[in-house]
Amino acid sequence: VGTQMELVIPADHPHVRVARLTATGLGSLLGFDVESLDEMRLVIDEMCSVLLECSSPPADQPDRLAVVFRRAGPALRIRVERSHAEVVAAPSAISRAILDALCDRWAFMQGAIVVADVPLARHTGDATGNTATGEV
Amino acid sequence: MTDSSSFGNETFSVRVSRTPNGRYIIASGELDGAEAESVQSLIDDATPSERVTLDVSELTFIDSMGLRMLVDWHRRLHQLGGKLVIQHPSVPVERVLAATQLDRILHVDGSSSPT
Repeated sequence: VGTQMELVIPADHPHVRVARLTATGLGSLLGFDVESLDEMRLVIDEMCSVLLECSSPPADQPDRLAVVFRRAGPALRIRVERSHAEVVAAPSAISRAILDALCDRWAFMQGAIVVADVPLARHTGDATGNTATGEV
Repeated sequence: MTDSSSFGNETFSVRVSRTPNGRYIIASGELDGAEAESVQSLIDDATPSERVTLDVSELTFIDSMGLRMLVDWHRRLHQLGGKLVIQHPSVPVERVLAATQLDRILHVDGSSSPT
């Protein structure tokens, strides 16, 4: 854990589990409680699922999801990119509802990128956003 | 008389029991995009007016793909004159159903069970 943490996984549903496990480990390091860890893994799962469902895989490049976690003020910013992929659809209403409910803000952008800010204060109980046991 | 079957892996499993009154399915573990596809067809042979009860008290995770499967089951059974009942949602499932407001559309029976 430093200023930024990165994870690259094959772009498929079974490997999204690895991203969920990583998010859970990071949340634990940041002092998240059980409920917040559940939310954290749901956020990362939805971000990856949006890219798998709403973008087409690259034709002649390895199909990968690159996940980056970093501190952004009072939030944990998560960025997931499906490199060289093309956006082909909008996120489902269910995915939007989940991300709306759990993130301060999020965006699905051209270039097959999803960025979301997860508020740290709600999860660690620290209004300043300072983390309890770790730092990203 | 009850006819039972089960399948799954280390992260997700289902047990299905059939009775004259309908089908009872217990889902355990994590219902995500990887698993939703594998259980989507579980009610393909549903009969008219069949009641399917899905016990999700042992489900520790569900994402949008799992929820979409539930909505699909709900619609298909409704079209057959039947019903899908989501029974005893675990705390994580209950939270996601509330966040997406699907608890207003799906038939949810019983409050969350202790986890």
